[in-house]
Amino acid sequence: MKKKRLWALISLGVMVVLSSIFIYWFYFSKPSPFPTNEQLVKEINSTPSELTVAVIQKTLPVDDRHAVVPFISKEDDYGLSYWVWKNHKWRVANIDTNGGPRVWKINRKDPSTFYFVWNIHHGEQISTFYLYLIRDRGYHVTKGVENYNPRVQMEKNVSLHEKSYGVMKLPVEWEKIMNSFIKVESAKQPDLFFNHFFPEQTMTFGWLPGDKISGKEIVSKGSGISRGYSNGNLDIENIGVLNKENIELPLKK
Amino acid sequence: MIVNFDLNAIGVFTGILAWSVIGFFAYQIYKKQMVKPKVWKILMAILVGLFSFSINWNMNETMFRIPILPLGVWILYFFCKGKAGRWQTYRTFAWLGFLMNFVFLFLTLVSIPIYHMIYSENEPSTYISTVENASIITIHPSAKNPTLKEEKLLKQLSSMSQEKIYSNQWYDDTYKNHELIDRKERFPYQLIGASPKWGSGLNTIIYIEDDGKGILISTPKKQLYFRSEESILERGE
Repeated sequence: MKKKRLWALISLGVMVVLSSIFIYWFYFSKPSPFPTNEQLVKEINSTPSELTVAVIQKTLPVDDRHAVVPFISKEDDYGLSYWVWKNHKWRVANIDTNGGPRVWKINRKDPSTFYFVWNIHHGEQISTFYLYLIRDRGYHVTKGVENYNPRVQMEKNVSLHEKSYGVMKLPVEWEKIMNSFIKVESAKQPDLFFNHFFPEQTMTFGWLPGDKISGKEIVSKGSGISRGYSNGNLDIENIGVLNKENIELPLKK
Repeated sequence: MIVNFDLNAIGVFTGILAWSVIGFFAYQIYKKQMVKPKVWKILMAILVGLFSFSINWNMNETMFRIPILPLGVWILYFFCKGKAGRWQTYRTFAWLGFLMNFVFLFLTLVSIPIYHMIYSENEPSTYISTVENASIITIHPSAKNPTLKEEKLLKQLSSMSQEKIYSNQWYDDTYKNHELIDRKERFPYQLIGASPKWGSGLNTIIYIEDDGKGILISTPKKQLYFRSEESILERGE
């Protein structure tokens, strides 16, 4: 009788240890090396996007568990695929044949995890573009209390020299400005758990091509057929093309 | 992740005081009572008793809760009435819980003037007290590239005078006779990394005027505008 109980105890212990090891391996272990280009192509082609990849351009690591892979499709579209290390596998979480600039928000509440990504058609006469962080100027008077909000217009120049694609962390200064906004806006709401403030409610990102050509022309190049796939778990914000009329002091370019 | 280190010392102190009051009275009741229930059950009775229907009253951006109906006490009554003597045991604790709502209200009312005495709303030094990690970030292209003169800022703080905010006029001035090409932002800089007075729990956005002599402070509740004699910025290129 006693022996039986001992065995039960031992096997229970073994089971606990094994399942902990498995859980650790499955959820928390260090990511394995990134898949080869052939594997990437196979995985992208097997998604429901009806997309066929012609060339994998490069693998761009974002952080330990996130990566972006720019590619060119059979239809000559320049696109981006977003990869996430999840459940012990590198998985493609999002594919887009429109390579216009986007912001990948790894954690939507934390601007220090925001990354600009792009893959802009190399055939165009565009060698450079500008990214913007904009908050509109405004004022309001409530019950005699005056409020003036200065315009925020921050600019970052990105060169497309030699490469059509890229990943760039949100500039540190932008991050600081956004964080100061989030802090004050969050403090306005008494309940932090249910009303989280997201910076995109007042601040927007935008971009502008640095050359003569307008942004709309660039985005509409390629096959014109937009293909994509998303598992719905990523926070990727499409950055709008600005007009020169949206920019104050545009003379500098 | 943004962790909020901005501790409101007065708020924390008020909270500790309120819970000490609860503890004190609960112990007095416990001593007097013949039946001695388990401590965790007393705690439950007080917490349930705290639950009330109350009116929220917003004055000067501070929320006051005025308790009206002792919902928690009623709930506990219905829960206890099945067994003889049980209600007698917990009744006083439940009412203590409800009465604590008034203690909280009272302490809130008292703590507000104290807060304003320590963290004077119209003193720039309430919002800017240490500038060791402070720097200037340019938020508009009309700005130059100045550097912050920390000592100068600290020296000017006490002598800065509060001025009226002409929000409407500032806004209009920016657009009047100014095409996109030469449009200037009145406050093209932000002061980042300056800490407010310790324990104030304040979050602020601090803008600096293009001449370096004005600061516009945005708190979650309002805006304040101060002017100094000398510029706190050093002109760059």
